[in-house]
Amino acid sequence: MLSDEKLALQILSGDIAAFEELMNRYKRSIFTIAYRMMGNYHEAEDISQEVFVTVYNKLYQYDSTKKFGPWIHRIAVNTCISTLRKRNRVVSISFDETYVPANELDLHDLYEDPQVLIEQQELQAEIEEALLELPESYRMVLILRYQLDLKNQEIAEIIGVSRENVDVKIHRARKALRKILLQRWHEGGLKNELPAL
Amino acid sequence: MNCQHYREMMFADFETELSPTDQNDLLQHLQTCESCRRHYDLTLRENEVLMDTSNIPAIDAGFNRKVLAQLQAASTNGQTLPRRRSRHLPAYSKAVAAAVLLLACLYVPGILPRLQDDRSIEQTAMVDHSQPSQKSLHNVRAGSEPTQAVEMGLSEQKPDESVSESSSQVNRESPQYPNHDEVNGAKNADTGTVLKAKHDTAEQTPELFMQTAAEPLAPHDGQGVEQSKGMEASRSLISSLRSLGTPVKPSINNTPAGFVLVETREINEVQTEYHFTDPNREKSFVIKLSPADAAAAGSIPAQEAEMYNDKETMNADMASIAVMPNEASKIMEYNGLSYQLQITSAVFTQEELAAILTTIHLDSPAPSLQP
Repeated sequence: MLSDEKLALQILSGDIAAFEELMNRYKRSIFTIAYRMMGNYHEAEDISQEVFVTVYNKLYQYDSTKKFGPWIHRIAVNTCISTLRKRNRVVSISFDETYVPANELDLHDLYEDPQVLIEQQELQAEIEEALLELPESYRMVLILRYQLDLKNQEIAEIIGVSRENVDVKIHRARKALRKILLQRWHEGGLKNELPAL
Repeated sequence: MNCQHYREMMFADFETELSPTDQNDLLQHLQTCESCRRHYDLTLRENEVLMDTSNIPAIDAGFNRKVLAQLQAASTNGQTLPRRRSRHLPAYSKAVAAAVLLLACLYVPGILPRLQDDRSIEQTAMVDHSQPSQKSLHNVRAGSEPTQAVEMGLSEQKPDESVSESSSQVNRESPQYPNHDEVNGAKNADTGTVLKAKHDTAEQTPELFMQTAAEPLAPHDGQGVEQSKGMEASRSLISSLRSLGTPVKPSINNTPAGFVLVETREINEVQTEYHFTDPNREKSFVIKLSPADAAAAGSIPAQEAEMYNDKETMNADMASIAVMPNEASKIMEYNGLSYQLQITSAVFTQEELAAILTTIHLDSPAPSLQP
């Protein structure tokens, strides 16, 4: 299998099949970033398309001696953040859109205690909502770290900071997420009350 | 260590980011502290949610096709497609080379005056006013010929001034497509008026004019090997200037009312795309102007013409995948050369595009962008 870097060179020679191969390799991770950042399917798809159009048009700027992954993910990160800033709005996620295809539901969920299941689902929804309240830079590092399962060094290459800086950002992002959750629970008087962090 | 410290430790990856000592300390603390245990449970739950990708919808199966269609649309609208940085010299490189050679002739004593001795060059300089593409070559030859200038009724003009005029003109003029007025001047006026016009131009740039005019010419008494070197350099100069003779591109006139030219894109030295749109930018079409036979139409060698065709290969690949816009084409004559006009649009039908082509005619000068 050709490396990403060789595929990029082939694209510059006019090989559209190579571009499609790169799309197949990266569209899922690009879409994941966009979906988690934007909070809905259609915007995520638009941004993902925009990312690949940008990649195609700016490919001549890519230094093929470096890894392709961080380069394309950096374009995705910048596209998401610039889109959010242009729209100057708070992202709100509609959970009607966050559907889970029926075939992906675990059957054993149906046999668990309904009360426990509901509580777990509520907790998951609360955490997801809290994630969307995070500042975009915090949300981005958490997406790259946990959704894409990237190492902190890889994240550092994508966002252009040192690995130590990424360590700090992730730690602060986790603390900020916890703070939002606790604040929500204290305000709502919910059952999951925990001492202040 | 207090609870706050343990709660911060929980955010680290338990196995990879915590030392064995820290792991043991944390586990022992969790056995004794109910509050921290609840924090730890929440941390684990957060980890699960953060890593969960199961609720991310599948991407549309037609995703790749949509991206390619966008790229095709951008290509049709004249946006740049990725391309390697040109391995070829830019179009103005020939003019720069000619200017350097000319300056060398001016500053190296004994080269330029010997142009007078080259009878064949002098004779060549007297012919062919009808080809605008020969203007640069013609002016330089005439200007570098002091005795010739005297014969043409410019006796008040000092020989070194006429040389300076020609050099400043060559330095500033467009390497490929000379100004239309100057071209017409070369075509319609006699040699004397052309020289006068160049004199006026030189007066508008006094610094350059004075700099070259103040440079004394070498005495006209060189002989033997030195004379041979001078002849060789002169031929080199003439050869370089001859390469400037690219035909003037015609303009596209009589386009449909209301449509304005918004972008001119030079695909290469001989092919140009003109992008027209209506004021509301709802309808647009692109006209690609190219010589019917690139190798025969311009001064470019056939090998270069093939190179230009190679540049379009990727567009052809894109077109075979994405939706093709409508197009029509027509061969038209201008200045004794055949040009192909290819019109493309995503909004006009093929019949409408053919109708537009019937009204268009080629003329000079080259069109300029509308504000």
